[in-house]
Amino acid sequence: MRILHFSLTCFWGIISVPVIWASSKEQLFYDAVRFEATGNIDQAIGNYEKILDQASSANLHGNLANLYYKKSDYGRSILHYRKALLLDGNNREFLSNLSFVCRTANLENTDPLKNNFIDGFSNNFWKGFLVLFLWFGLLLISFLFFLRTTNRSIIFACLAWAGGLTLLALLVFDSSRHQNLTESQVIALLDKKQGDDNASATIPLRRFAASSSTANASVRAGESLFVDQSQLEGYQSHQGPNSQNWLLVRTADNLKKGWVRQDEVGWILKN
Amino acid sequence: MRVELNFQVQPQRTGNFTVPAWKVMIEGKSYQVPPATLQVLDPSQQEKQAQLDLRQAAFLELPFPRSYFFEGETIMTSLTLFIWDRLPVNRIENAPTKIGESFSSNNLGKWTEEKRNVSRNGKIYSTFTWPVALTAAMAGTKEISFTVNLRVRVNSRKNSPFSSPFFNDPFFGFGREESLTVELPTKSIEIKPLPSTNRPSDYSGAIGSFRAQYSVDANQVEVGDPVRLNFSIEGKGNFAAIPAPILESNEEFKIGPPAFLFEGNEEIKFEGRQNFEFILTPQKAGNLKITPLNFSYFDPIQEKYSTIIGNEIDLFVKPGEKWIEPPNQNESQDSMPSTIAMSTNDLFQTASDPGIWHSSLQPKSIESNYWFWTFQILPLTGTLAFGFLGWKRRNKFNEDFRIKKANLSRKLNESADHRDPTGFFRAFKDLTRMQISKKDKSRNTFAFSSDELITFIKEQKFDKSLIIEIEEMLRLGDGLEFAESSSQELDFKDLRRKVSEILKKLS
Repeated sequence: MRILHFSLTCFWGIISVPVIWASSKEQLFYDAVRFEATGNIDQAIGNYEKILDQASSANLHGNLANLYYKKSDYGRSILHYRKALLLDGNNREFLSNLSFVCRTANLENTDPLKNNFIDGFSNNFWKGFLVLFLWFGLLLISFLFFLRTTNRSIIFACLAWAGGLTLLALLVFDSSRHQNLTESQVIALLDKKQGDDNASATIPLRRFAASSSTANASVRAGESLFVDQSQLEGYQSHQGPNSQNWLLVRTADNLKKGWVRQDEVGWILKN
Repeated sequence: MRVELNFQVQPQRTGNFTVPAWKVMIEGKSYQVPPATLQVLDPSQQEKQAQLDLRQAAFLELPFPRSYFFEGETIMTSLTLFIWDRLPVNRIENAPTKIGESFSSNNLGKWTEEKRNVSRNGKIYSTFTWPVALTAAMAGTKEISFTVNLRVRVNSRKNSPFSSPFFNDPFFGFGREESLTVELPTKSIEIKPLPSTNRPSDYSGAIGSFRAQYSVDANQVEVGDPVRLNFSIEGKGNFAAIPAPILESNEEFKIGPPAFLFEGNEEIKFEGRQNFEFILTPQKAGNLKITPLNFSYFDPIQEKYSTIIGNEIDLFVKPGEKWIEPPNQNESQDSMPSTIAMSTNDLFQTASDPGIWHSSLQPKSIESNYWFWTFQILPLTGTLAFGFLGWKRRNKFNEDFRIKKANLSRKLNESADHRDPTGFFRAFKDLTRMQISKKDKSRNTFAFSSDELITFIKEQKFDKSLIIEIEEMLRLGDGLEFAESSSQELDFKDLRRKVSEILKKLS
């Protein structure tokens, strides 16, 4: 009877797998790859974008970036390579593709933050390291105390421990500051309606949060911008009369600053 | 519009009677009513006939195409419900339900075919038919049955719908509804195991009659561009149990998992076309060959295995765009090997699988992790344990030291009061040993002789005058104890002061 039950369960399992599969994000992904294989780029992009409402993966952002590159939408291509690299920072394919797209879009450096030693390790790594050092030091000092070593040795160990802790705390602080900057980083995007033929078009940084406002400066699609932090909480933003959200952004070198519509930029850390 | 005229007759004797044909006038038109026959039975015969009528009033029929099946084989048949026209059925309550677990079947929803005026056993029936795909789960002689419930109207005066005047006046009066269960008499059928002889090594459970096709969307692509490979199986058989053929990634192609697409009745999956779509991503340029796919199945009619052998497909892959990594600006040109000046990467390759899913791009803070805090209990416990044990150990040592010192000081004072030079100098020597023991815990100073003690003190870099004073006192003590020098002229008050100063300086 048990064997019979098992056989039936297996049989129905085989039958029901495709049914469950059909509605999953995996299915959407494979369908998107199929659409791409048949040359249906827009539908493939649509499928990938649909998945982004549920979850993301490095390969998903990588594929999406490839498709946007094929559509000459360099801004979105760069944005998605950056997202892919957030999830898989050592992927040489993404790094090469990103460099190629940047060169094609005449952009020199798309990540102005990626230039120091701290970037090599995540904020969590430094926090973890700090905690390890803290406890290792405390354990060592208490062990020396237990061994009844001379006070001089204990004081020396305490000083070395405190010095190390201070250094690590500074690294954690710097890494957190860097993470906050990444959180406020956005990539300039062209309006999708502007089409493929307008790859050289720019995004204006306006004086005021209004479409009719003149621009202070302009940036190319794919350039990195930083949203100013509000003095109260969150980011410097403004809601226009037709429910348009505006953000106050600046370039990494602070030479260009102005208002952009929220749909003119893509957040790196948000889906 | 329908008008029914019902007449009630009461038989006076047994026999066969004919109600002759008669005419009826409707809106000036004359219609001929056909003659009707009536069989009047003896009361004992009447009961038998009622039972027979009851069995024939509603029944199920499930024909099998063959006398035996194979294990795992899917057979297509139909389940038909016959309802006698004179049975006052209001509705069919539910779809037929399978009894027994030896077979699996598709879900039977609403019937797919409905027929009226079907003649059987000298009665007129309405029939309702459901298509049934049955798959035998195990070998052996297995039984199967189906059941269905009907909602029938019965006379209110009667408890059972099957007692004698059940069919007398079913369409009149204020009746009540009752459920009537119709069950297919249990059918036994032999299920044979699949033959093990001549079974192909790649056989994966397909039973039926099939044809297979194998094609790719394009025959020229660039490296990294996905290509769709479609493998389709067409025919009749157990499509629901056919797994996708195995096609694994190799150095030439990255291959994603296949998509299952069935063209035909999805519910039954007996007849139609099953497509398996693979996405192949070429990894290198050149004229690549796609591994042919073979498909093996068992034909239950011919009772033998067959294999459809696929053809090799050529795919011309052009080299795509390449990224040439620029040389590192910081390194001198001389230090770079001339043969490998720069590396190249193929660009824009499509990943055929999604990889690891992440719910958010925002890195999850380590503090929000439960393990981050749990892990810290270990070193915290260790630190507290070492601290507590160390404190206890140190306190014990200090306490012992303090008691010992107090005893020796008392002994020193008592010896001075009693003018006992031996005791006085012994106490001084022990106190000196105690004080210097703190300087080097690795050596047991309590076992030192006077000479060793002096040597040790000299090593510790004390003030010279202090060393001389200690040496003098120790020599004086040794003289009194071992050379029996005279102690008459000793000023114990002065000695006590000197000893006190020395011990103070040593501490």
